[in-house]
Amino acid sequence: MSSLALFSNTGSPMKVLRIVAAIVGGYTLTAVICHWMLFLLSLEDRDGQLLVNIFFYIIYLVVLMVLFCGANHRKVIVGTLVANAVLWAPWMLVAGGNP
Amino acid sequence: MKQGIRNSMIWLHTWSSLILGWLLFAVFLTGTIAYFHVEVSHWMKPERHASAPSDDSLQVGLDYLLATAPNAKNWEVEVPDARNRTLGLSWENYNEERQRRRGPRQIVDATTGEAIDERETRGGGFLYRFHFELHHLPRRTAFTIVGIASMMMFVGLITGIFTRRKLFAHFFTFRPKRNLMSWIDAHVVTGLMALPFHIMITLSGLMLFANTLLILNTDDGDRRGRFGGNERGEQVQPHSTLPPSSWTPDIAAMRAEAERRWQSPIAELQIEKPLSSEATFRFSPQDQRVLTAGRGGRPEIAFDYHGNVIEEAPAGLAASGIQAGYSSLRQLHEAHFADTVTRWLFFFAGVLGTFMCASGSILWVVKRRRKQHGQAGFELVNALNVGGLAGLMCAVGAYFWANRLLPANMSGRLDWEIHVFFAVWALCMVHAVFFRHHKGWVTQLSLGGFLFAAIPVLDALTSPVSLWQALMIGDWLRLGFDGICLLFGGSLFVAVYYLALKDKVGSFSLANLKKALAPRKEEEACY
Repeated sequence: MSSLALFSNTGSPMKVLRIVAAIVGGYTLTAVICHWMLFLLSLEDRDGQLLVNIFFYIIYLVVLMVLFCGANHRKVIVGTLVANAVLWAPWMLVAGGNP
Repeated sequence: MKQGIRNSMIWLHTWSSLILGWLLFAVFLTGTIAYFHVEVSHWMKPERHASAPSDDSLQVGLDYLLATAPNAKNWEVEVPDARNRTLGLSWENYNEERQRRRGPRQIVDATTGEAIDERETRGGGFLYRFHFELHHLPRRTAFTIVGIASMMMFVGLITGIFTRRKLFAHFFTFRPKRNLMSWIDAHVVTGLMALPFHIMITLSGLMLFANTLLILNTDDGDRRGRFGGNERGEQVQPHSTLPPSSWTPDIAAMRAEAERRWQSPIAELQIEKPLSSEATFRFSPQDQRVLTAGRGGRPEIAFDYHGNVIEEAPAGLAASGIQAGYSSLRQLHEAHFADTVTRWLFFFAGVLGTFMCASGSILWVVKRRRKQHGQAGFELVNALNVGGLAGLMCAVGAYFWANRLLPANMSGRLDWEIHVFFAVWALCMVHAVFFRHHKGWVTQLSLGGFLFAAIPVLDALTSPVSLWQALMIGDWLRLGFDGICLLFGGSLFVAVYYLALKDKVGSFSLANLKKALAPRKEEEACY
């Protein structure tokens, strides 16, 4: 039943926080995934930009679906934060704070 | 666990689609009409209705330019085609400040060669622009709002696929007169029938908003101009001209040669240094050959004064596979390449998408009517459904009526047409607050039905060219618009008829609410 917590009519701060984490955290997660994708593919500026324009939304969609599938609010929030930290921190090191 | 994931998808599908569902409906409705925005503009400018294109139209345009701008630096003639029955003429004088192009400088009757003094109107362009930049809002704000709505649509579309247990079987299922089940079937079938189109149009729309929505992007990705570009080299000193009687290039032969090479009629002729022996004649065809090349997808051919080919440029090619993919998606969204049949297919897919948005919002209400009737959220959605769906259709109909009923020479009529659109929509919204159930639907659908069904009568009474004459000169753009409006108005009346029939039976009355909304096992299991 815990997987149905998202669909209960009762609102809770955790539920709201989870939705915000999924939408905002999912967006930043997608952004850093795109940064890594461009970095690893070593594309030209223009090609890279166009690739991001197309694939950003597909990746964001998948991230959103995954984050909304989680059963536990707390796990989803923590998972989003950890995933962001794990990908952003090395990226900042690689890009020298200049994404 | 599987059930849990499916429930998550249902939740995500429901809320991502509902929250901005009315905006999505508006975007889909106006975007669908926008496939024919040129044709709508033709209808909304009755001063153009007398123009009947012929093989001589190009010469008619050149004669006008010869008389009006003999000393111009260049001329440009847009010849009539399947979507346009008038001549669009432009010219640039020496030392004239270059202005951003917003269509031809002068519209000319393709038969008589007389300048058409047409009414001020945004025409179909208003509906086209509304579908991505709304109105009364800063451009970037509007892009952000529509972009967010599009992302929600994208989420709704893909999660919607996961909500069905038997997707393939559902495609062939329609259970009429079953209230909730019928709405579910209608929603699913309209979604599935054109699912590739819905995904393509939403993803490509999002792609076009990338400059606004993506923080890691600062470019809309298409800097490519047309072949030849706008920078042709400035010339300050006027060129020497010959007397018109001595200037006799064989333009008809050049045109024939260009059309022979492309196997396509020409769309445009640009003449640099007209009335001189150094003149160059640059043709471009109507058909866009290479979808992947974006806006540079049309070839061009240039002739000198004696008819010799001096330059032939094939359609531009994309520099890479990624650019080709991006350009293809962009072209698919904008449908500039589409011939008449493809355009109609896109239009019908858009109609299905519009109905999918509407039926989804109505389905939300129908499903919760028993449990949430009287609750604030439920009543709000009800009111927004009536005002946002039926009300918008009334507003579009009223926009067409305002176009014909406001005096042609009225000052600020362009703005007033749009004021009428929003005023009618706002009135419908207010009406929907008080009559948000059956009565609201019947009233507003009846009004919409009348506004659209009576369009041919309005057209016959307010155009200088009668419908019979339009038939005689083959003005199918105008007649087609009338026909579609009549069909759409008729379908709204059919909806009103069924609503009235239900009222008679009593399934909408409170007395029979319990009986009508009695739960069925099938319905409980469906969502």
